[in-house]
Amino acid sequence: MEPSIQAERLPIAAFVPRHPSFLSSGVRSVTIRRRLVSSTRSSRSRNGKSVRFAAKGATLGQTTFWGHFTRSTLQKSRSEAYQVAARGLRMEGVDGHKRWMNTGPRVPPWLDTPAPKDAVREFHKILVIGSGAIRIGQACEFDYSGTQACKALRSLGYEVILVNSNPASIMTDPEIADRTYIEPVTHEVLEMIIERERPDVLLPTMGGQTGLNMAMQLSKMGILDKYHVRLIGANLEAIRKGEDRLAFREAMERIDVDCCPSGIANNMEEARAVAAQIGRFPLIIRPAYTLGGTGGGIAYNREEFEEIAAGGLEASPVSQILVEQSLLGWKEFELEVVRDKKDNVVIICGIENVDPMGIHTGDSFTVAPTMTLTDKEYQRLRDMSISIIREIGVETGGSNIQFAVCPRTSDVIVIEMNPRVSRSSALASKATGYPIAKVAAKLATGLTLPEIKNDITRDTVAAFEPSLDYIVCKFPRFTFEKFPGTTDVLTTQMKSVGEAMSIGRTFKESFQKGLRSLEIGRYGWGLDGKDEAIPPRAELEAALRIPRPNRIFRVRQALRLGMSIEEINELSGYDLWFLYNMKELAEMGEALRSKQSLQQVDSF
Amino acid sequence: MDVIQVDDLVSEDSLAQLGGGVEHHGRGRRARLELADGSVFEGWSFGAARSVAGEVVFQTGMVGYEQTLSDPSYCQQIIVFTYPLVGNYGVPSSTDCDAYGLPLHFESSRVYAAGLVVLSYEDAYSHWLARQSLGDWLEQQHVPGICGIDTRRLTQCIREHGSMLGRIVLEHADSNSVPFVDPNRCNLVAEVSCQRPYVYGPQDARFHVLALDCGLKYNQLRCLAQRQCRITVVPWNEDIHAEQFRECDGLFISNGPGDPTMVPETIRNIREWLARDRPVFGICLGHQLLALAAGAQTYKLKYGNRGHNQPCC
Repeated sequence: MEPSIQAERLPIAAFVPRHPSFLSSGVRSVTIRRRLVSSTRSSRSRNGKSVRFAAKGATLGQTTFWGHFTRSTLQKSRSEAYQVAARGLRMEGVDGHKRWMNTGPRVPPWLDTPAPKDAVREFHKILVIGSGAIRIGQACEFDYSGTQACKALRSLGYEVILVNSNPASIMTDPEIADRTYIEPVTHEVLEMIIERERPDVLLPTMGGQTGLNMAMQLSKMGILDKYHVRLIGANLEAIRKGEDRLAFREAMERIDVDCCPSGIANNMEEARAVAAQIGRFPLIIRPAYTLGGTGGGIAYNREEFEEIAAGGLEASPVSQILVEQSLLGWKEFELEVVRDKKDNVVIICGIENVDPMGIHTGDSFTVAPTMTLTDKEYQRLRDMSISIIREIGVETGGSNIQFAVCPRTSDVIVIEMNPRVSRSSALASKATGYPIAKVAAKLATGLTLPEIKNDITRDTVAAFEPSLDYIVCKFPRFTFEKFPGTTDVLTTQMKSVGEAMSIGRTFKESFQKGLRSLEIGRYGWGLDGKDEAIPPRAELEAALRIPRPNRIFRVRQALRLGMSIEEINELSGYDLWFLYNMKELAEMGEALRSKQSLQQVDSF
Repeated sequence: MDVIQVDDLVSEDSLAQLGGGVEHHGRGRRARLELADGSVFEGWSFGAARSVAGEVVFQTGMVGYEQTLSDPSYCQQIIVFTYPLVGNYGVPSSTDCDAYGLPLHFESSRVYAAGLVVLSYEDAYSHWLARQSLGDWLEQQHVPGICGIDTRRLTQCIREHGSMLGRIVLEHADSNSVPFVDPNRCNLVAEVSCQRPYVYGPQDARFHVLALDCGLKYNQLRCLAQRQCRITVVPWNEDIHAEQFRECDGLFISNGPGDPTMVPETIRNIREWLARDRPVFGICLGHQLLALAAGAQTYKLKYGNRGHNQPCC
């Protein structure tokens, strides 16, 4: 039987096997067990000299190689071999041991940027709050960015302490942080860890919303002050301004950026005043403290407004309604912005949501860069983003800012901003090759954008905005079949459980690749022998109007039924430009279908 | 056994099929882009149906084709967009003007680029401000475009060899009918500069700026006007030391096309201005002229930086 080592129960230290004794000579493979590690694997290379250790994460299904070295190394120096396994360095090739022997202690092989000189260092030990549990709305994107950040900080020579409640994540792998605590991310546990570790600073922006909430709570309770822990990456004021609707609105007013106009009314008179102030229909009426929005609705004219507002006031137990301008049918855009301490700001990527306003951006079919914005519109969003990140006061790091743009007037309304690394920044990183989380982490230590090298282009620095020569599509993946009883209508609450991203030289290419990669059994946008029968027109119209997971395939059915793209645009809110492209795809499909043989296609 | 490379499978033709040109122009007229080093790229013609020669340069901006094409700095250059989709939002009206009477959506009164090279020309456009398609606009401006070109490979070519002379030649046309021309050997500034002085901006401005038009973009005037400047725009060879410009607060030298050493009289004028120790600033070619006037040397880059992502920290 293979020897097996159980990692010590935390919160003592990371998942590091404590004793090298398991590497007795002649051992061909060693199993290193972690909690929740379901299976392990070992293999021998063809020459029989190389032993590979591997452990497989149970939930994520990702394979992590813990070490790879020759048997001669094993026999030569057990302690050295142990070090490799303990550090978990990624090694490939039979000469792998040479590489790790040449690197100094505690220096990972991805070390690239020279660390700042010790003299200018203000801190040494960084506490990072990790991504936490994977759930709908907060998935492994945060694990990805958190891992990037930890690696970046360690490569600069900082000591990284990681807290994460999720052992089935990459960031809790032993080589990612200097010490990893797998504990619930609550203020009690965080206080214990802070007391024990005495970190100099706390980086809360890598763990999604949980991280920011924790930072707020720790600060309010005086724990940060008590142990002299400073926040880096975001300050409390910025977090508050990003979260608190009223504070955000006030901040936007100061820089002359429009928010969605709205107001609270306690009686009909006030309601009319609010409506008059907003000045245009449709209006959304939301009664306060009612379940599932009962009594609310959308008013398209004055009469409807009177009726719905009166009904809403009655339905609300506190006789209060929120009246806001409806942004239905407006186009939705996101910009990823990064700022450094010297106030340099770069826009990493503009993302266009093909699904219009009303659907959570995580559930939307999105494309990058923006396809239907003119230069002037894009520059306006860009300028606004820069002033927003400055006004909110995100001193260093990335932010995600969401805008609604009216397709008929180019009016712009800012919807929200997240003063942290977000799901979209993970997408933008992969779409552009600009490692936002990595750069943001380095910026948090006080480096500036021109000082950080871009690993992709190699000869430029992080101050260059990426310029793409390809189109990126992102499709959300839903699994409503696993949640019986839930409605599959898409709303402002995120319901997707994953996503597929594709890259192509044209929108059409990227679109088809994305659908194909979704693993929903389709080989693209139809014509794969799996097309469903076209439903009656009325049913199809409803399916185009109400956003559901398969809506994009409905467009093709509608086109085949002979609906015009203007009609489809009216019903679905997809911009005409995307529909033109889909129509061309559909036409090409029909043209191919009419051919009898490949020879005919060749002459096509 | 031969190894089949993925690149071989994606032939130029199949790439071109992806381009909108195929469907929209009834698999219209074919055209080719010929480079001075002998390489030829086949594609489809859009815009004006004519052959043209110029210097082939690439541009990395992802939006703003109407501003780029009307930028006088691109005079006699054939622009290759590295961004693959061009034409998405059509072309807006040229009669929409700002408060002081200059067209809102363009950088000058016409298309200055000699030709346009794209991977996928999007004839079907969507924007509430659009009045016509990019192809129609180019046709109206007598500028040819060519789509279905593997612009990534072309850009790599240019990066390797540096900016090259080239020509867009229509199908069945004789290549020799359009000889290569090197725009850097002529005085392009004279071609794009205004003919006589004009004034732009608010009457009650705080500052009065003298602008030397070497290929000026309208937005520069707008930016100055927003900062409470009134601008007197003068042609490239105007005597800026004349009596009527005495009360100007400063000199602005605009961007422009071509080699700065082609306009020695402008350099002389600027040198005199510098000697009098009055405020001055230049953009792009204007900056190069300023450098020459101050006694520096200029040389042409292998391939210039054309795009929107030049950092300024």
